[in-house]
Amino acid sequence: MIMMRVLRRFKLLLLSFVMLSSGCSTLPQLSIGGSDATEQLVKDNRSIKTTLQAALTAIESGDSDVAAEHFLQMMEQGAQSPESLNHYAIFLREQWRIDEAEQVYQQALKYSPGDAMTHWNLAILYELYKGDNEQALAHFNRYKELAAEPDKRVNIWIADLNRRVSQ
Amino acid sequence: MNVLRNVYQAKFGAVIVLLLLSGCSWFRPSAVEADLSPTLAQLPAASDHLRKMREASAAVDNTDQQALLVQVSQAYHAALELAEDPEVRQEILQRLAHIDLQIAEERQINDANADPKQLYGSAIESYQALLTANASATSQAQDQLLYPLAKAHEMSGDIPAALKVFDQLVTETPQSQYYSESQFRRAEILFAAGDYAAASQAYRAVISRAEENTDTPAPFLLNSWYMAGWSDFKLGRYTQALKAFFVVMDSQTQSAPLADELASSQQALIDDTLRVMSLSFSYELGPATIAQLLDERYEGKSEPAYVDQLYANLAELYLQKKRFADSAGSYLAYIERYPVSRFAPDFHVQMIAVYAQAGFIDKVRAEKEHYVAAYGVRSDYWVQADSAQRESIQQELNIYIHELASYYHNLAQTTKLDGENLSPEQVRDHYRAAGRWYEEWIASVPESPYLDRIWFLLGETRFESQEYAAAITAYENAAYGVFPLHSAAQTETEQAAAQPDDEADSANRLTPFDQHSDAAYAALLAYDQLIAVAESEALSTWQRDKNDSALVFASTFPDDARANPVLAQAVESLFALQQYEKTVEVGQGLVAKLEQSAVDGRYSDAESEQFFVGTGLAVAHARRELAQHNEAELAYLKVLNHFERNANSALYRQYHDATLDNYAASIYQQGVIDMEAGSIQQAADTFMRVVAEAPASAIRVSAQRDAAALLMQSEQWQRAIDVMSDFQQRFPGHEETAAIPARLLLANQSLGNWSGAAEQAMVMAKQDDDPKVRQQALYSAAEYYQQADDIDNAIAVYKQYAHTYSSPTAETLPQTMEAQYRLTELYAGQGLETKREFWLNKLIATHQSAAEPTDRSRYLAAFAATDFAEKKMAVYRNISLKHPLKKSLAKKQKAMKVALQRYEAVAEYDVEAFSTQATFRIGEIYASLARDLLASERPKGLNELELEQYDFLLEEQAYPFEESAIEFYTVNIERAWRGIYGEWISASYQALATLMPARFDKTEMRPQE
Repeated sequence: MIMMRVLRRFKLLLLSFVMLSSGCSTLPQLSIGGSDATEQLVKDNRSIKTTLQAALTAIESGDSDVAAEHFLQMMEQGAQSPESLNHYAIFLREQWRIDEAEQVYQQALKYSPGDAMTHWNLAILYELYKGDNEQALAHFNRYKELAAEPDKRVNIWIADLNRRVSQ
Repeated sequence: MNVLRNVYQAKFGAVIVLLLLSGCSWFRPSAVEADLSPTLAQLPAASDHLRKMREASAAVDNTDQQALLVQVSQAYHAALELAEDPEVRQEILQRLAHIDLQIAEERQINDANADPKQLYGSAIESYQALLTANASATSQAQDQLLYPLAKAHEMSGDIPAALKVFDQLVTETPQSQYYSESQFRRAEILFAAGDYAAASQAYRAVISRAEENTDTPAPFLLNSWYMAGWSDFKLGRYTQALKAFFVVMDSQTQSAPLADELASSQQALIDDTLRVMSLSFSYELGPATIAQLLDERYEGKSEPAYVDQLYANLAELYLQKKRFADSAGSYLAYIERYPVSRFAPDFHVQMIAVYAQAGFIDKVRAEKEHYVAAYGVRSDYWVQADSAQRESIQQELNIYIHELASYYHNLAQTTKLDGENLSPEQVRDHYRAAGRWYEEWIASVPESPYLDRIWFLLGETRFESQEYAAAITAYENAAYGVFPLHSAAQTETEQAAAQPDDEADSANRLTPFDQHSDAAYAALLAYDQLIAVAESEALSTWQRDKNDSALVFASTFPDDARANPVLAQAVESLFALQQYEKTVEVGQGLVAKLEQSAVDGRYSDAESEQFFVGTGLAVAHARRELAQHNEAELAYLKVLNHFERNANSALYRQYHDATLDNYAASIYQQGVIDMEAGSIQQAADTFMRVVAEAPASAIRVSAQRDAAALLMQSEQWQRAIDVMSDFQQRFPGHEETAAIPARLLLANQSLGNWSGAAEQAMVMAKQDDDPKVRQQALYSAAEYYQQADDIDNAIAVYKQYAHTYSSPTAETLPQTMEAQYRLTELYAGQGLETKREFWLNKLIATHQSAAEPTDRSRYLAAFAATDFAEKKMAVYRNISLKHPLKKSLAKKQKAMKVALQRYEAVAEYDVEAFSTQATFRIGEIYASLARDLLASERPKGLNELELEQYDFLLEEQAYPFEESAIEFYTVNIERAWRGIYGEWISASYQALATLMPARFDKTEMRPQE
């Protein structure tokens, strides 16, 4: 009996992987407003995580060049998880590589459109570092929708943005 | 009867021969005899002939014969007594007469002492009786009696009676069979009696009868011709006589050979005939008469074989009479008439002998020349001559040519010495003539044991006649010719054969030649003559040929004292002719030879030393021309080493410096080759070898210069520095020296030797001709000092630069401002703020006054302005707001105004790095004033309400400053949105996060593991 259950779980996993793989090419471009709360978050494999860890360690020790190399390597390894991509995007923003940070966030949303953190971070990028209040508003709203327990400050920020957008 | 007749005839024939032979001695006049005596003496006596003939034909015993005749006579006497018929008696008597005659003859033969008259008396009487009795008989019959009667008279010695009977016979019976014989007997008697005219007539009657009856034998014909000739000769009718003698000669020389016994008699006849012919010719026109008669007699026919004897005998006859010219003329006539005759050469020799005997020396020489021309090896005669003839001619040629060559050579030498009346050209003609004879000699006597000497003599004459090419050939043949007979042992006879016979020529006698080396050397001297006047191609051809000859000289006569000079000169010439390989080959040989003769590198004679140096240099030069520079180096070194050992010599003074230069140049060339092969380092080493080995050479400077360049190229910086520094020191005035500082700079720079680089840059800044270079060098010098951490010098030089170029052009503006900027930095490092500010102000002023300011000038000006603004900021910041607020606030606001003005000024440069800073600082000035107001010291003694109101009032005061701060910070944020980043942007975000947390205090979520 136990063996049967294990097998079934395995088959399910397998099935979900196939769907994910095909989803890369077949899923339509995610709109900010698109919602699929049930969507499962993408995970990266161990080697990608190892590379990510190396990048973070480099940042801690203040060696941004080494960190940049690790991040590039990580992307080449096929990093897709919100975790990996948000770390990378934040690193890029801190390096004042704003447009690249935006692309990485967008890429993260491609794989994980329902990741609230990514929307939060992207909203801040748009507001503070690109002056794009509309995009910021949209992503804060999406965060609010997605987050299990949204940060309460976001309501004020959304209100502020709404005001400024409507001005 | 017939038998008797035959016997008689045979005997009579023998008598005729006897008469004929002995007649020569009977008839010959004493004068003629004297001329011809040698041969006459050898003739046998008549009686000897007779005895011989009798012995030879002794078929019958004489005694028996006589007895038989007596018996027959007795028988006829008995028969006469019995006979009655007159005819029979006549016949018997006639036969008895014949027998008596025969008996008388027999007796006369057997008894020389018997009286002839007595012996023949009986026979004579018998015939006379018969004639008387037979007076009426026919002439035919009469001649049968007359003939024996005449004979009997003759035998008895009664010649007149005999003549009378013969006269009767030829007159009365001309048709008699005894006619010719009788005429002949008459002629003989008449000749003996000196009646030559009658004798001649009688002889010619015999001849006429023979010519009328050519088909019958004519036993007296030859004798008649002979005697007719003599008769005419006696009468002085020489031409007539000669014609007769020609008949005799022709008959004798054309007839078949006789038996030995008769051959000598015939020869005697021929000899006598020839002698009398010679006399006859001599009485006429000599050789002209010979020719004339020959032409007449043999027209259209071949001439007889004895013609040469006619001429030879005539010549001899003349000679005996000391008629030398006629004698020679006779030989000459023959030679001219028969130039290809086998006797011609010998006749020529005879002719020369005649002239010699006569003492006609000029004629002798002329004829010897003619002889060589006519019969020599180049003559037509020689071509057709057989080997025997040639051998004979050769012997004469040997002698004549030697004599002639010697004669002309002597003549030339004599005229050269004292021929005051002769032009040089005439003297040369004499030598030319002598030379031709030596040439003739060589051609004619190719196997002469003295050929080498003859060639030498030919060379000498050709040299004197200035025919130098021919002289060379001759001398070289003399020197080097292969003469097979030369080494072979010569017998004295062989040697003597080639010597002149004449005693007078003994001075010219040849001796074996032992001057081969002189001949060889003379050839070289002849070459010199040609070379002296030759031009262009001919010149080099002669020079080459001379060199070849010189080399042969040296190898053939290595121990000759002239060998070394000759070789040395050849080497020099070979080099001049650009025959470099040969120059080396020959030159090395000579050098080695000379070295062997030196003791401790020194030469006993100046000449050898000169050859050593000259040849050594030629070898070295040739090596260089052949691009064999290593070998050239060694060759020059060899000479240099010699100079070192002989430093006081004249050669040293003359050649040492040039040799050193060449030595250095050959090393230098090796460097060039290394360089061309891409072996840069090796090339540099080689060039430096020039410096080390030949520091005093002319090329040393170039070598050192090139070495430095290559060391630079191969980045051997330190070596390059050493070489160039040495060069700089040694040759301060050299044009290359000016370029050295720049190279030294580069080398020092490459080595990281910044102070060294700075020093060279300073040199350039001072010395270079180009003002731009000087300017750049000065700046570079400052930079190098700075790099060398030599701050004092760096500041000094930057200052020098900034002062020197304080009014920069558009081109030099950046560097001037950089210098000013560097000074602000360096003074900052030294904490010399006032000096720093001087140069900060310079930056601002320079930019401001620049006709064409640049981004960099604007940047640096903004940089300087910012520096000043920051100072004002610090002043402002340090003013704290204390009670009483109004006073301190006013003070702070004043400082604030100043700072704001400064930052606004910075912002006006619109240089991003400093604009963002200025913007932030302005925001900060406002924000800090707001903060300071709110945090300012409160007045003491206020109650709570008053304090609340005071605080409210402060907030009212502070709020506008806070708003202004936000406004300026936000300017920087908006810059960020446009892609402008930096520390002042980040700082602005942070400031706003504090001032407007609701909007700006937003941070990314970091993923949590």
